[in-house]
Amino acid sequence: MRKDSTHYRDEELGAALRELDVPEHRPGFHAELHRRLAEESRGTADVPKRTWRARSTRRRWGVRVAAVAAVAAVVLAAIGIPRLDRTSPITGSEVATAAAIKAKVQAALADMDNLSGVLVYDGTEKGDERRWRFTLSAAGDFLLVGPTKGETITYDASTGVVRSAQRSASLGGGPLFYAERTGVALGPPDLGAPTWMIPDDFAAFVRALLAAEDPRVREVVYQGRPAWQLDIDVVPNAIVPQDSADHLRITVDRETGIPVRVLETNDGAFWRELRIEDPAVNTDLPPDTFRLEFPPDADVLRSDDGFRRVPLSDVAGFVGYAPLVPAWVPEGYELAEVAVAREADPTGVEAANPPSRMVVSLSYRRGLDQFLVTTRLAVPSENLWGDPLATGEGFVDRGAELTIDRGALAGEQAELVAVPRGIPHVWALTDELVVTVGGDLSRAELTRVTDSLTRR
Amino acid sequence: MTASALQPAADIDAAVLERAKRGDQEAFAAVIKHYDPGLRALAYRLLGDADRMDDALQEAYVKAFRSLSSFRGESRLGTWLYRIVYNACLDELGRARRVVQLPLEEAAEPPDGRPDFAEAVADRSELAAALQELTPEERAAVILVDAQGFDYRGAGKVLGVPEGTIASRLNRARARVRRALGEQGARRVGR
Repeated sequence: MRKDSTHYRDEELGAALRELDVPEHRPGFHAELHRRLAEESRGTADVPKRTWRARSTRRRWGVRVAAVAAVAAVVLAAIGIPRLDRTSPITGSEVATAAAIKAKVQAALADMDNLSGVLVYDGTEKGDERRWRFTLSAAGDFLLVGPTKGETITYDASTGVVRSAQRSASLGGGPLFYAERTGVALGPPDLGAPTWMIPDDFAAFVRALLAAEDPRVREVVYQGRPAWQLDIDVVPNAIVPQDSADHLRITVDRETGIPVRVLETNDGAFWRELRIEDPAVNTDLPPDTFRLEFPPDADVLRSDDGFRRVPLSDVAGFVGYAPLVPAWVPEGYELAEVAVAREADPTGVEAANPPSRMVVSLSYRRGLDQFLVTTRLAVPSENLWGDPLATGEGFVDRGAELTIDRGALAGEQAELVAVPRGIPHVWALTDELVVTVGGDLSRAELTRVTDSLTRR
Repeated sequence: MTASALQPAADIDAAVLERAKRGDQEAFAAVIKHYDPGLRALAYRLLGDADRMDDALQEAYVKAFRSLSSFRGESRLGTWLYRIVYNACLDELGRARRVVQLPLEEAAEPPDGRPDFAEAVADRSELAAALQELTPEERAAVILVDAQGFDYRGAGKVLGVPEGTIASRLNRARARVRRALGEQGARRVGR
């Protein structure tokens, strides 16, 4: 739960702002709007076709997401593998398929202890390029430095503490603002560490890559190394399609099968590029790598998200119900962390779900792979519960309804969602709980983990 | 308008929303009417001009109508609309840089004869002027959080940034507004 520091509202200023006048619409505004809406309605004849095609494509991807899936960290992780010796290369004239690449990525991730490199973002405008130096660990820690001097974010997974020194983006610089978040959640659907730049974007690309049934593959040379170039059509954002890519070109290191560059285009025009430079895997990291020290006189904005790391045996006493624990997990996965919160921010698209109460979050890790099992009370509310892990505005997830066969949730209805831009997951709403199982799991693994949930 | 409840307390009725999603113009008009005061306030504070406000809102509302069928019911409709309007305003601001400005004498009288609201209210002009000194992103943050009651996370959803960024924008914006107003202005704000 956050303290006032992130809920503070300047009531005095707010009252004054509300006193400022706002003009009514100009004469004819509503008539003009009605006319334009009528034109839109008349022009909808083509819309169903477009919608159908888009959905069809997404379903096809969803089917393929299967084994892989992808994960946020995947991406990053993936990218750094050039020096990873444990991953056997795909060599010779072997046909490059999405399945082969997927297996390559998975093997690398499962074996990785840490990954470092430079993430480079470039957009359509001159000066858009930004660079971050990053380090990720298999425990979930991360370090992000940049894009300007002095800006740093660290996350210590063992303590659940995020520390940051950042400048105001809106000012294009200015002084550093220092902040510390404690009690940070283990991850989605609860607000975890702020790694949106790396995991969210890159994970989306990896998912798209892995989910595409028949990406067009070409052999190329990228930065002097043999690589594959895959072309994938994606569904643009429904709200602002002009501000969203409709095509991805992903360059994958051929020796390791790892994505090293993603080029997004919209209607054939450059839209955005993300790439990883100078990747390094399993390097020796100083013990304080993931802890940012503030200057002694820093004015630090402190907040507490309310999550506490506890032994599994203490969970029931904390939340008042027996936690749901999978009796089966894919090979290599181990229970890494358990966290509980009496209250947490609402989940779902636009955080529109009812309040999260008595939350239990179990994190399972396998190298840089992670999946989470979460439960929270299905508190009655005016708002209906929606998918806590829905992709978000502008992207419409199409899940598959299923009935859970076995385990503590036997007979309950659930939805399995595996779409390129979202975290593969299952969610269910029971009379008592809202349950999610989500992360780097295939469709079959998601189902099996869910079926194995037992009261512990 | 002195709206104390610019941000509606609740989302639109589900049945109306469902009709609107199916392309019912009257239902969509009801949706817009529900949120229009707050959206208008945001657009006007960002753009500082009544005509540009209306232009941006026209574009935003048409875009919302076009996209509403893909809007999921459990989402917070207001946040979704605010984001569309905010983006439309940014587009409008960007477009302004490419538009040749009219000479002052031609621009002095708005086409419909409406007064410049900020100037017409003399005792609030300092606050309005101070707001204009902020970047659009900062202005949007204070309007959403301080004036319209969004929490940091919701404002972050509208503006497309993490809530930590909202916090830093708010700190900066509040400080700059109060500095611009000075002690006398600050007392006026508190009036």
